Amino acid sequence: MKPHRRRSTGVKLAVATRPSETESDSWERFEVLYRSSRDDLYAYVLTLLRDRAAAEDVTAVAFERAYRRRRTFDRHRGDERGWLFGIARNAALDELRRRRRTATLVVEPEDLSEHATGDDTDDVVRRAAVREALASLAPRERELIALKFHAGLSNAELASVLGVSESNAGTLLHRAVQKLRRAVNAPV
Amino acid sequence: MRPFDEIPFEESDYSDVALLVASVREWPADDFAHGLDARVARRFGPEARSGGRVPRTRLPRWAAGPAVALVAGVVAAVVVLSGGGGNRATFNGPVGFTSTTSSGSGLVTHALHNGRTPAPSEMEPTVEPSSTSTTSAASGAAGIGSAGTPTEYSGHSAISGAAALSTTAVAPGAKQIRSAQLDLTTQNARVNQVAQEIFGVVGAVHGTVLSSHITTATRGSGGGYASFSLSVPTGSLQNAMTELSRLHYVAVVSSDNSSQNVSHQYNSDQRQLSDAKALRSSLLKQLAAATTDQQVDSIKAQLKLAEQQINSWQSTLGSLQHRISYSNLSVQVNQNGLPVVPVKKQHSTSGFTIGHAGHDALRVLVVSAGVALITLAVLIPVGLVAALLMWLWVWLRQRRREQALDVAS
Repeated sequence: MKPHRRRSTGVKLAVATRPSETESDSWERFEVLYRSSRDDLYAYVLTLLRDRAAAEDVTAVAFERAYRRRRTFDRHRGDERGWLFGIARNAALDELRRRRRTATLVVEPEDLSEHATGDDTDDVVRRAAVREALASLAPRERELIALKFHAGLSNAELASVLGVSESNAGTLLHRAVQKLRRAVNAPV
Repeated sequence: MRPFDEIPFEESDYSDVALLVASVREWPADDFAHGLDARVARRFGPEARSGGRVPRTRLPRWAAGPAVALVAGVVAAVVVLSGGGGNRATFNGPVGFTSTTSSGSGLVTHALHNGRTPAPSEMEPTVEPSSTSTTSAASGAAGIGSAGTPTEYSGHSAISGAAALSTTAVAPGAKQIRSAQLDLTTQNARVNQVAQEIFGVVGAVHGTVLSSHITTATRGSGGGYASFSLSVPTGSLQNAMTELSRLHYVAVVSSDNSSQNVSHQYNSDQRQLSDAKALRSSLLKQLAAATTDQQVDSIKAQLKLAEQQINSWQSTLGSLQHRISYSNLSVQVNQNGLPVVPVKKQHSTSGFTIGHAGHDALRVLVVSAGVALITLAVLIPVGLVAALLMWLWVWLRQRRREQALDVAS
């Protein structure tokens, strides 16, 4: 059992917009964003890539890019968290493209299931069923689930990250959730 | 496991799914988390920089393209302007002076170009033994206008033309036949007055008028014309040209000065004359020593021929010497019968005036506007193409990313 960590609860970075932001202010804002998003970003990227090592690399790259581009962030175009996940998404997709170019052999997804740890058998079985249900989803649906439930993005932020309208994002999310429910409840 | 109430999802309908997803959520390994924390703490700098030094501010990547385009546009504008400015300087700039030296002759031809591009013939070096110097000063007149305005003609260009003639070099001891032609223009009503002044100049330089033709206009426009064929001492030719160029009420349209080197011919004629004289002396000695009538008659006949040759050579040499000593000068006033627009005498431009300052300021503004216009003309198309290419590149990249997600299993 992993140690209990408090999941981020959608920390709102309600920093008032100032005409000229100093270097230290910008750094502090980034640091707050990093602390609130690190684990969520990793979980999201891992859902996309299904490879721990690649997810770690992409997570680091995403934070570094966000740090370099922190001055280009436009608050009027959305929340910082959505902006960060957009960067991570692009980095993860670049990683998928790179994999496709460099490896013609299909790499089997890493087995993310937990081994026997002595936990309650029902919980283990239930988690295995959920993992299997998630794996059965299409990549885009899996991404939607991750953005919604790992990153905690609102529908508007989802739309911003995916480049679709907010209503379309809600519809897509609803379909993915329904599909996941059916897959979880499907008889083995 | 986190309790359900800690998950702040907007849609409560998804709470069961949120719980399911949270149950299989993966957490980063501690090593990775600590390593990333350390990198963030150093602000993604190299590991050696443990102090978290702030990276140097660089030009943003998005600004690099426009900056390069801006610099390229400015450079292109400067190149275009400098190229165009050179031509304009040829036409509007100060009087240009071109000097051409012909090889081997030792004679130098100078051409003065006042405000116009020299004709190819004027640019070519003069071939020995003759040389030509041409001056045109018609640029001051922009067109044909009414001739009734009692204004004075500018004499600056005429003086410049005379100065050009005076610079023609003559090799020491060389025998030259020189001739010149001067085209003047004046108001029709002033033709007669100008003609009288020309006669005065000819007398002042001890020259003679070989022929003249003067037609005085009876109306205000067209018809006034005068032509002179003058013979002036060669030593006074430059002075005569200068004085004629400085006449009141006239402007110099063009002047032409040519010279022909006749040193070889002069020396040859002199040798022939000396030979003939020597022959005569020899015949006279033979005549004194003759003993028979037949010898005397023969020598006298030869003496007669020798005398004829001497006279012929003396006549030839005298004619040549006259042509060398006196130059022909042709002066035309209103050659085509069309007077040029009178040009007011220019006043000194060295002093500072508000008008000059305003003119200069206006010119600076016009040039600046031209530079800005050319720069924009270069930058706008380049910027549009660059923006289109950038958009296309971004669109393609995003499309490939989405395709990568679609094919991921």
